[in-house]
Amino acid sequence: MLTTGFKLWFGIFVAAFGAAVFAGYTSGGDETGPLTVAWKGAVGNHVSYGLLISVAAVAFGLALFSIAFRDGDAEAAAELLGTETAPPAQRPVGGSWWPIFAALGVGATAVGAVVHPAVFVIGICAVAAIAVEWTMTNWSEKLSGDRAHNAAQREKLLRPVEIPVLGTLGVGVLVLAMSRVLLASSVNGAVVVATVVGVVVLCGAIVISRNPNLPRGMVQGVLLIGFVAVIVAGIVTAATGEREFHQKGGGEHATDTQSEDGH
Amino acid sequence: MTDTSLEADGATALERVVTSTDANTLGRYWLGAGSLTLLASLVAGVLVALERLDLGGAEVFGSADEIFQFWSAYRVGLVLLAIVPIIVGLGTAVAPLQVGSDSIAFPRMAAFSFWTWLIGAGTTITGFLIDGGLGTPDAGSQRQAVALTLVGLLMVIGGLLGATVSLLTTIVCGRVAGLTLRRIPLFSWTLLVAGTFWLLTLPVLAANAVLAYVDLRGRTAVRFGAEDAIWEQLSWSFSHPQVYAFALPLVGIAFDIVPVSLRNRLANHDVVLVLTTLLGVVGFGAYAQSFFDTPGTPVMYQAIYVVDAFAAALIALALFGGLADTLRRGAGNLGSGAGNRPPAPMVLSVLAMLLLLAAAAVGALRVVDPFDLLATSATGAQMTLTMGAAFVGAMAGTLWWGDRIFGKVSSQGLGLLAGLAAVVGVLMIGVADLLSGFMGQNDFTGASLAAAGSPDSGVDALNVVALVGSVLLLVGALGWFANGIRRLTGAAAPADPWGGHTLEWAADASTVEVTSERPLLDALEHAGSAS
Amino acid sequence: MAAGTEVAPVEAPLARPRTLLVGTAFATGAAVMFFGALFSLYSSVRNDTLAWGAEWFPEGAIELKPGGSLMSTFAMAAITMAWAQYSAIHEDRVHGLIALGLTALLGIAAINQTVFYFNDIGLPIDHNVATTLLYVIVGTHMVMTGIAVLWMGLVLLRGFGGQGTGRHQDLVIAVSIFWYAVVAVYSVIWLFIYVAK
Repeated sequence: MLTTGFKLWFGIFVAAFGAAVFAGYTSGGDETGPLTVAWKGAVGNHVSYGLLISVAAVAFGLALFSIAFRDGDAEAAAELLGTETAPPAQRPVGGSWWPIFAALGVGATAVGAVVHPAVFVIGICAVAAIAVEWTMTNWSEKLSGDRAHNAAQREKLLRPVEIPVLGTLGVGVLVLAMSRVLLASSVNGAVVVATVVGVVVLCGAIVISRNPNLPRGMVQGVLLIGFVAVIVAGIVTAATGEREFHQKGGGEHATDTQSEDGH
Repeated sequence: MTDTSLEADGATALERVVTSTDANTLGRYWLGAGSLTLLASLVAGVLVALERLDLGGAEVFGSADEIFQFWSAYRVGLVLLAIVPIIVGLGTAVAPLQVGSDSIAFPRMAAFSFWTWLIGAGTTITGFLIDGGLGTPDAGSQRQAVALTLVGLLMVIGGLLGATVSLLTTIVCGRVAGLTLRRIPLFSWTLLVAGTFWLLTLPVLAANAVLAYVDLRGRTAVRFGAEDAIWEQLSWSFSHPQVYAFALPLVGIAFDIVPVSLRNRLANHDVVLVLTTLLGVVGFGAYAQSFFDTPGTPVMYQAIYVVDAFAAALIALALFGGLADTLRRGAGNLGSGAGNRPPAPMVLSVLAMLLLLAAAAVGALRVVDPFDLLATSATGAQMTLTMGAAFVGAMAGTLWWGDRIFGKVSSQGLGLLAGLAAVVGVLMIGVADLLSGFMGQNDFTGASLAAAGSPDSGVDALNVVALVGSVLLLVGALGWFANGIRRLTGAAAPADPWGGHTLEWAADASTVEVTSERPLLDALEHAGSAS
Repeated sequence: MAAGTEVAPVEAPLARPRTLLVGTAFATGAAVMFFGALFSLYSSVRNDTLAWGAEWFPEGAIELKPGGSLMSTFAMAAITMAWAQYSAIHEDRVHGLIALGLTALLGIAAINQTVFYFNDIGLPIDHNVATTLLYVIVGTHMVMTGIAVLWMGLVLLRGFGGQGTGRHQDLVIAVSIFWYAVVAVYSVIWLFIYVAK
């Protein structure tokens, strides 16, 4: 028995193949070209012919799949599993961070391709890392029917990797950003900046440690804002460029100094 | 970081928004984002129509290049950033319900597709706004910005493809027992057909875009990345016949709504299946790439292009005839509605099919050689009519399924008014542009009289009509959007406001026995005959 | 008791088979269409150029050997993938992992060979229309190969985690569908571009 899906895609195949041959002949092909995919002979308009043939090929493949899987009907699935009724094709999976992170990674890759190679590479790395995380999430979901157990297994496996990597990345980004800021400030300014930032961090930490009951969201928010602020400052100052480094060379007693002529 | 910890930790509101993989939520995201870009595109359309009034010099825009950027942005935006996403949104929310599935297939990929599309749409729009877009005739745009637009377009295509794969897999694999593909509701069926053709054509558009992008990057283009060549390579995707493939699900919407409104069965279900498939086939427009014409065989003068256009007109006529026949046979049941008025979604469905018929008619006129319409504004007329039909169909669909999607009611009256405004607007644009096409006005008029073809006062008047139509269409879209916003705060909706026939209206789809394409109606009649 | 206690887990619920395969078939169809489009454009532009009597690829720029050895790499990779698929269906975890790993390795080798081939051809991408098309087609095919290899890596990850066979065989079959498309597209590149020039 031919399934509806097979009829649909096979019909598209027939129509597309017919259209391809028709297009091939009517746009100036010879006798054999359109029927032999231009192996022997010629077709007229290559684009029309080639694309319609491609459609025919893909539709034919889909038709084969469809008949092989009997349209993916529930009855076919139940028979394959040997169960009374077919289980649902897809259970709801709940919230997930990976889609939006992956999309951001793809976005970074795409925009980076235009804007800057570094962004492109970062995007690629992010996509690859998220692919692994996403896979392991899927993996853990298929371990058992107990969501808590699955989540625990996933954490046990991935936390030892995630925490150091993320920690290193976070620290690295902060260090990079801060160093840009210090390089862009004047000689004395850098001292002031370092002192102020240090004091702010210290006081913040003291406040947080003194008040264990601060709402978690608030602490997270403050930390996030601080993190972003440092990164933004780093990007801005990196764009501004470093201060001038001069040296006065010369005799025995020459010292190596930095002056601020340029500022 | 772990996904499952989200529920356990009591995720914050923001976390829940960005991590959702629920089909209904994603459908709303698509609808919301698509409607915003729709408004933006229509505003661009109004500006372009306004510019066309005074061909003496650029008034609204700074230069002819800028006009071209907005003129092409309007078409790209309308199709890939607005109408198709809106249809995808309706499908994402409704199709799983129609086939009785708890979730869309590959829910995380569906979410990923939406976000990719969203970021891509943002990138595309940014590219347009920073003097990029899809190139300009006088090579007056920023090359980096053009590259950014193309990259954004590729992400948009990727997002739509991913969403389509999710949708089609849901429709194929997610059906409950007894619901064969032949019995699925027609909206799902047209999504299946249209989705197949999206999978067959969007990659072609991607190939065109990649070729242009690679040739454009960082040096003088060899050929494909030349500023004045890019739009010509992509334009097939935004004109006849490809627009039929994008608009196709509107037919399913109409054929799902009308029989239920008439409390009647559809006489020739299988015929509709075949006709919609054929409409998909004739809507495969990727073969019509005039940029790659071999000298001597311009594709738009080929037999296949002509046959295609007339076939489309015939199919549209047959489909409209089928709808009219259903209306005729069910007319007796109409008076029983509230206030004896036919439901708004039904009215809009019929009007959408009418617009599709008009579009197909213009498409057929366009290929008649003696009329010489191919390069004229008739092309724009055909595109606007088709996309307008799809938009009105989507308006009908949101009015019809909105209660089920949002759980809140909206104003059917406002919905009807907005729909009528859009229909009138689309018709005004379509008719005016068709007529000015007969008078020889070019599809893209540029900023000079010479570029516009041979304009005379008649064309000027018609352009005023088209401008008014554009404004009306924008007003209709605004009304629709406002009505959608009202849904967020409306009163709770009944579970089955229309007395639906198909599974999306069932309280629990898994308990319904499916023996035909209208299981709920079967159950009702069975209960009636038993008592 | 204390945290980290292992409880006997509930058996994972059954999933409907083949869902992943259907999704993969659709996605693979889209990928094939992408290359169908590029090939159509290629042949159209090439036909035009030759009809003008102009040069397509410079004489002797494209050697046959590297393309042929690439073809044999891909052919082997198709066979190892079939082996992986067979092993997954027949519950042979070890062979499945070996075969999938081999296929991924051959995929990486193919990318490596392609880079070598590009260097060997040595024409700049903007030499003429032909080289632009060549680089776009072969480059995007490399991306497709890369995606397939990444995908295999992820399936291998799950395979090491005990999910390569039995109820999880669809994972392997899905990537094999995509991989056969990769090989098929390469065969067309080989015949259509490298051999036919």
